[in-house]
Amino acid sequence: MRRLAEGEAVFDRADVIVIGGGATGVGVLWDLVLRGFDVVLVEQAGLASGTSGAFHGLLHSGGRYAGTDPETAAGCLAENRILKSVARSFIRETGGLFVRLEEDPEDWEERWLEGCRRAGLSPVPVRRDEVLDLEPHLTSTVLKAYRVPDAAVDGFGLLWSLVWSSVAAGARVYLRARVTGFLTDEDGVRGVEVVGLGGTEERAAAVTEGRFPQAEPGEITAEVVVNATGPWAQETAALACPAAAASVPLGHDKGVMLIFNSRLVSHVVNRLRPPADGDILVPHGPVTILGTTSGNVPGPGRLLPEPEEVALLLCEGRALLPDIDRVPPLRAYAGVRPLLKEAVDHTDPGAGRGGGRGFLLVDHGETDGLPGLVTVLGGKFTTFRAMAAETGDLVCRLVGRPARCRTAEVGVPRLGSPVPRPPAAPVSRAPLTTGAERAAHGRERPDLADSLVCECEFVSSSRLVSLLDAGLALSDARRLCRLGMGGCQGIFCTQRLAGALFGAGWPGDTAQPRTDREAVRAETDAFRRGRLTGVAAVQWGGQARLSALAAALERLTFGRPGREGEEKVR
Amino acid sequence: MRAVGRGAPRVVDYDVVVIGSGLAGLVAAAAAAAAGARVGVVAESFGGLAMWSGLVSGKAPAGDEELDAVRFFIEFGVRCGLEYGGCGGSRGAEGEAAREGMEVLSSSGRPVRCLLAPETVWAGDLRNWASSGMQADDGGLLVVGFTELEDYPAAVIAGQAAAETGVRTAHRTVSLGRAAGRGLGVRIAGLFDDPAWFEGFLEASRRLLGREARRFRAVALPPVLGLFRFRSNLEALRENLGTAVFELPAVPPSLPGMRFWHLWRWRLEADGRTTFHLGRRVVEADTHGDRCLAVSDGLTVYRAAAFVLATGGVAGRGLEVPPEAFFRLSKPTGALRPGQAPGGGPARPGERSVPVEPIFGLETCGRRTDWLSWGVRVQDSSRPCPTGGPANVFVAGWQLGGPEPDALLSITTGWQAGRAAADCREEGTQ
Ligand SMILES: Cc1cc2nc3c(=O)[nH]c(=O)nc-3n(C[C@H](O)[C@H](O)[C@H](O)COP(=O)(O)OP(=O)(O)OC[C@H]3O[C@@H](n4cnc5c(N)ncnc54)[C@H](O)[C@@H]3O)c2cc1C
Ligand SMILES: Cc1cc2nc3c(=O)[nH]c(=O)nc-3n(C[C@H](O)[C@H](O)[C@H](O)COP(=O)(O)OP(=O)(O)OC[C@H]3O[C@@H](n4cnc5c(N)ncnc54)[C@H](O)[C@@H]3O)c2cc1C
Repeated sequence: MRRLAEGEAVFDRADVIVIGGGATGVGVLWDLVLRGFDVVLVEQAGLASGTSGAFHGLLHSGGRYAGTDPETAAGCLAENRILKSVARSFIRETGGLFVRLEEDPEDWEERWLEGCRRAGLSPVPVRRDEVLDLEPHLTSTVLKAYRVPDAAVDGFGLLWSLVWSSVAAGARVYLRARVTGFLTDEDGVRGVEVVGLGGTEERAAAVTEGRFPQAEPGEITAEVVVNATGPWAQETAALACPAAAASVPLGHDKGVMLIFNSRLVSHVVNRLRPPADGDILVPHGPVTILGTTSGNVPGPGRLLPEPEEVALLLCEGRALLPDIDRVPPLRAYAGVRPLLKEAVDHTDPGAGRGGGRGFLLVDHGETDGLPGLVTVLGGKFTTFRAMAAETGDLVCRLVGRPARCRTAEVGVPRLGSPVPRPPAAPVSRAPLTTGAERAAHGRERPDLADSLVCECEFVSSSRLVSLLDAGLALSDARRLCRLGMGGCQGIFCTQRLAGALFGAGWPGDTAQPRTDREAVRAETDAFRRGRLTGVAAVQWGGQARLSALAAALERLTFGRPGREGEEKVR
Repeated sequence: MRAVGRGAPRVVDYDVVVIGSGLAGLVAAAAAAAAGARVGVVAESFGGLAMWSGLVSGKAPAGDEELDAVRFFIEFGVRCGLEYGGCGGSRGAEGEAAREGMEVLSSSGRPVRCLLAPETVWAGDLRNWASSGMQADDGGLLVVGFTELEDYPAAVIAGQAAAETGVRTAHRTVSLGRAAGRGLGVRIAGLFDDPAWFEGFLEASRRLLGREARRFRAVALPPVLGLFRFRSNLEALRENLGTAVFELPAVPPSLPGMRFWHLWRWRLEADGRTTFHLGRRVVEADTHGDRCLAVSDGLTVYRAAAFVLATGGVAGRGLEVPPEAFFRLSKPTGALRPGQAPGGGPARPGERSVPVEPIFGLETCGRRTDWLSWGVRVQDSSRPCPTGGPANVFVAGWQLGGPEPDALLSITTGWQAGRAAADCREEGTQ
């Protein structure tokens, strides 16, 4: 914490600063923008690079919590309905099924139905034979099934759209910029110190990888600072003072998920039993996500899925889908749930799931004598809007400027199709600008001979180049157009990516390459490394074959990779 | 042995049956035939050859056995009409050329090292360039791409190559015209095999590149200059452009490997000792005591005095890895130790093995590298019989796994396995 000097020059100033570019932070940004505030958002890595980029993508109906926590279930149901109306284009109404298998406890069904009733959810019974018609891959040991309004949500697209809309309304979003300290004056917290404003590409890449090279900090000031850093919330609060950290009762619960390269189910499928490992299936386009495990971890860090966790998932997954071993696994990934501490009992491994789904709003002015700092934590993706709404109300009270929450009414613009409207220049060097956005908006470069860079996901070189031209970092552009996320997991497109980056798409032979060689090399190497971490824990069947192939190809085209890979990857 | 389908199974007899026609299988067949055996090759497909850049990588051959294998490979290649050599194409009567190795550009523009390369690549040996002292006015390298061949980004190759090697580079992308469509390398190679079309291409290339190309020290082209007529095509291009011309290895599907497959197969068939049964997947083996009597694809039974198992590794579907095998291996405790390459080496006490759906029910071991590599464990790497398996089965190529399976492994173990299998026949007749 540093005292702000009188008349000190600052990098940017706003009404409110939001720290954290996950669902919660972006939700708060959108909420406050709609209330007419001038807002700055600071995110240390890429958008949705924390938990919000590593979840199931399940828009809960509340069914999952009905048996344990009807109140949370009711909250989910309300948000489920609101998001389906305001963010329609990011939600697939798959519907959800709760299925009870022979081995699942019967009394739980009673308790669950009672919880649903209390939450206002009315599950519709489905006949046994009908279930197998709906979901032919499911085990034939299904005894009972109920239909609920679960859905699949494209979290990444939704958050980008909210960010872009906020930027269009005047907000500034700094990606790859990390808050390292707070600024105060006699009235309390007045801003943040940020590393990464004015950074370079290499530095940005390093930050994405979790290294934070020293750089000159810049300052941003505001009346209120909202700490929405999810699993990092306690760390962030500790930058203010130990007391503030103590007021943030945060627990960390790691969850591993497994993606299969096939649409195995058409509904979200849950087991009708007390929530446990490996009992959710969520269909997303051509893939299916199986989740999840649960285990306490000390902090957010960069967690990798362990083969043991994957084995557990697969074993449980077999109960629902007996043929699952034959489906090619695509990759595994891990996320960390930010849970409220009261609910996390470290002696009980299952406790991570039991409760703590609720969220908490901490006004550090009240708890620690630090007016101007607010922490919002807990919750889940489904409830991000509600969390933001309460945070917005608190901010209004704190600055004494009442304004109504409008997020339940204002529709979230769909990303421009066929090319998503990219928020421009999210490199930290400059805040996003609408001018650059216009330049990039949906314009396929007509001067380029268009070719497919990624065949699995149908990404054309012109689309990629136009995203990059708009100033997106490769990692953001890649996730936005899903490059390398399909069946081959980047084996065959890495080299074409280099081509597109380097200027294969440029007309004529005389044009200068768009990117310098070192950058191409760094970016393609990072791309390959990222792939390896995702597939390391799923090396059987088709993925084992692909990896052997990839290893052979890499040695041929990229020379022998450094042996450092051996330590990092299993 | 059971046969699928009606009636009695067809039975064929050979001295040696080679299962698989990848690099290891072809070398094994050639080695066994050269030792006088009648050879049957039973294989499902090209295997890894359809992906192979044509470069032979690996550690420099050590010991007489490996050098003999390399020498055999080089000599047989000459008879096939596809020459292999190291160090700028020197064949080195003793196979020593491979010790020197070569450094060539890959299609990512990075230099890669290899021991041997096919003749079409020789003019691109970077080490040769360096040793003859590149001059600033030497012209450097012109990388030519074809508009129709998308996986060969001339700009990337030229740019990276300049950065990595210090050689001056330039790039040009020319269109092959409508006949090429948006082609795969294989299809474009078909055009290059058509003399009339090639005449036209020569004409055009002189027009498009002629004056410019002369200023460069060499021109790099995609590896698609014909499945069969590559030698004369390269010659004609060299004359036409007035400078050295070579093919630059690229990503799959890869023509150099297919070239290799066709030319080796034809040579073997023409020599009259080898018969190919293609499109057949061996599914069963008939073993008695420590001998394998026959293998079957469900329709035909192949009997022989000895067998070579060259069915490739995980990449070529020679081994299927079930989830349990992976999880057992990836447990930090009790993880399997790497085998000695090639061939895993003799089992060490305390090591465990994991079944990976092997055809013969053979013991398989896995090893952690960047990925997991799997292979059949053998008793002795110079006479690679599987541990606990029949004594007249010899394992070759990627089926052996090893830390970094590469083409040299396939060449040396293919040669060893082929000769050992041929020896079994003599043991049997004596
Ligand atoms: C395995 C798993 C499955 C889940 N499945 C679902 C589901 O299906 N449906 C559902 O609704 N919810 C689900 N959840 C819960 C949901 O994903 C999370 O509750 C939600 O994403 C949390 O969002 P957040 O914005 O609070 O945190 P995050 O998304 O983690 O965002 C915090 C951000 O803050 C940034 N940050 C941290 N420190 C700093 C700093 N000093 N400066 C700048 N930035 C900083 C981080 O980089 C990060 O991007 C799941 C969670 C897990 C773990
Ligand atoms: C992507 C890629 C890149 C490569 N890059 C390099 C490189 O940089 N350097 C290098 O030295 N080498 C490289 N190689 C080549 C590689 O070294 C050779 O392909 C390798 O030696 C494998 O040879 P193999 O004969 O053991 O297996 P494969 O070539 O896989 O051959 C296996 C054969 O067995 C057949 N088969 C499998 N199961 C059965 C069955 N049940 N019944 C009958 N037939 C069966 C298959 O159809 C095939 O014919 C690369 C290969 C690939 C795939």
